[in-house]
Amino acid sequence: MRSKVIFLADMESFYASVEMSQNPALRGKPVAVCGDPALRHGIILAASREAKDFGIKTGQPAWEARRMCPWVVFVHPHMQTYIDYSLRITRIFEQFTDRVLPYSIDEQFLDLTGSEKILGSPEKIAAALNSRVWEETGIRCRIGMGENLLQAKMACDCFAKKSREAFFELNSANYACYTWNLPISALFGVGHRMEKNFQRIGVRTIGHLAGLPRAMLRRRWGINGEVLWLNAHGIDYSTVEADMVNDQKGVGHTATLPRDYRKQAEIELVLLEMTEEVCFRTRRQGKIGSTVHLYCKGADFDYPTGFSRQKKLPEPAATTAEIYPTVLHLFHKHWDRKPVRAVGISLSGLTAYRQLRLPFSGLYDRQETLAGVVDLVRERFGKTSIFRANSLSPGAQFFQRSGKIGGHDS
Amino acid sequence: MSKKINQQFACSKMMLPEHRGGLQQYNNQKHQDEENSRPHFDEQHWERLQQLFEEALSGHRSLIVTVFTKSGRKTFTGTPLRGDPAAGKITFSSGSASPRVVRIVDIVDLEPANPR
Repeated sequence: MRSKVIFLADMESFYASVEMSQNPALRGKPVAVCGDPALRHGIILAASREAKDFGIKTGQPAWEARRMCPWVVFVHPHMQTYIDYSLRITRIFEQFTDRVLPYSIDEQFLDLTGSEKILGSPEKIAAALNSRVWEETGIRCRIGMGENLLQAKMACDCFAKKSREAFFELNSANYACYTWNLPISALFGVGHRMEKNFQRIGVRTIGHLAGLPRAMLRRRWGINGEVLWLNAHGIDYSTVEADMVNDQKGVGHTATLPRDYRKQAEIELVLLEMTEEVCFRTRRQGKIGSTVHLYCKGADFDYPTGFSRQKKLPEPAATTAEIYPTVLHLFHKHWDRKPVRAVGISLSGLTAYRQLRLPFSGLYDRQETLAGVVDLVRERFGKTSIFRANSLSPGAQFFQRSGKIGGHDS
Repeated sequence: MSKKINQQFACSKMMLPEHRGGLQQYNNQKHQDEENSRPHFDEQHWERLQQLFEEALSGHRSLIVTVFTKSGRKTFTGTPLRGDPAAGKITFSSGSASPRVVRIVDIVDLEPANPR
């Protein structure tokens, strides 16, 4: 008897499938969705099944994909369309259960506990979900099933995606049997850095990790180590809660620059524009943040440089006037004066504005009023209706970034 | 327990702000639609309302009444004065000069105003 029935539905080659659904002439062809190589966004974001047969993978540079398959069809991304499709799929899933949790644009958790009596066996429900999504959107999904979210995720990533049936079940009884032989990198939550850490102590498989004492992992890597130990045992306390959508930890933006930026003034200008974007989005949620994080990536691939540092603000804020000095402080302190390829700014430790901000008149009152007015103008007349004059200077990214979603065309 | 242990998927969620915004808008719309549409209840719910109504009528106790109207759900506090099963109506005294008559089919929920 299963304690819970959790599905993770993953859309196959999501961006490429949406493009094929929109343009049926692409069906059966090797299709790769990738950004504009001229703007240094020429990375494969998704590849169709036919393109994958030629060895084309997500994350590969476009030129490499072209070499593998000279007749590959490159398509520019349409981010808003992908979001619309994702929402359509959420609506389809909600016809099966009211407990649906979108985890990313192409992955959604469904809690179907107690639905078997009405909808049939989990295999039957998975087949019905798949055919409904296919009929309504032209997209196939792969489904991993488990007694918790972790088991469903592992079932999907490690087995369903690779199986012909596109469905796989893990449960507390078979979890160790199926997963403990897998390499440690296959465990949810283990990235490149953690994989290296584990390799150093001789942990090569999920089973090796499961055999270590939980207390030792907690001592060495804190909560993260303990969570990975639980994951190795198939234990997870997460729940499918719709509120998770609203539970945002931080607001951030990253951008790959169209060329390597060498001049300090140019980099500072982009940082100013991005600080403004981050502050705008934070204010729109009625929040203020307490920690600023700055990320800069060096331009040289052979000798990776750059930094990723954060600083707590003297008091939580969400205006450019209060946040930008901290961004600049981090930049001046850690920049090695080498050319920069990508930058990112985020504001975390979000709190409701009214909860913390005391209504004393102070230095930043006028700035807050000004920011509020700019927000109103932009919300009513569009993002580019009002801007800083230096956004017209060479190197500014304001106009290039406006109207884009996730750095790609909307 | 730490949030990372309790909700590791909430901590690792990867969502574009525009996708998050779209979902919030969709959820708000769904909530609005639910508020503006007449709900369907099972027998248990009707039995609970019946019991609360009878207790309030016999004990002259106030109820928080939620009714479905054209402009969504409205709530008022009132004491039931009488029920007319033939006409399908309940009369409440709600502090105003004239008693308030509510159609039974419009009642969405009843709650005791002063729970014991």
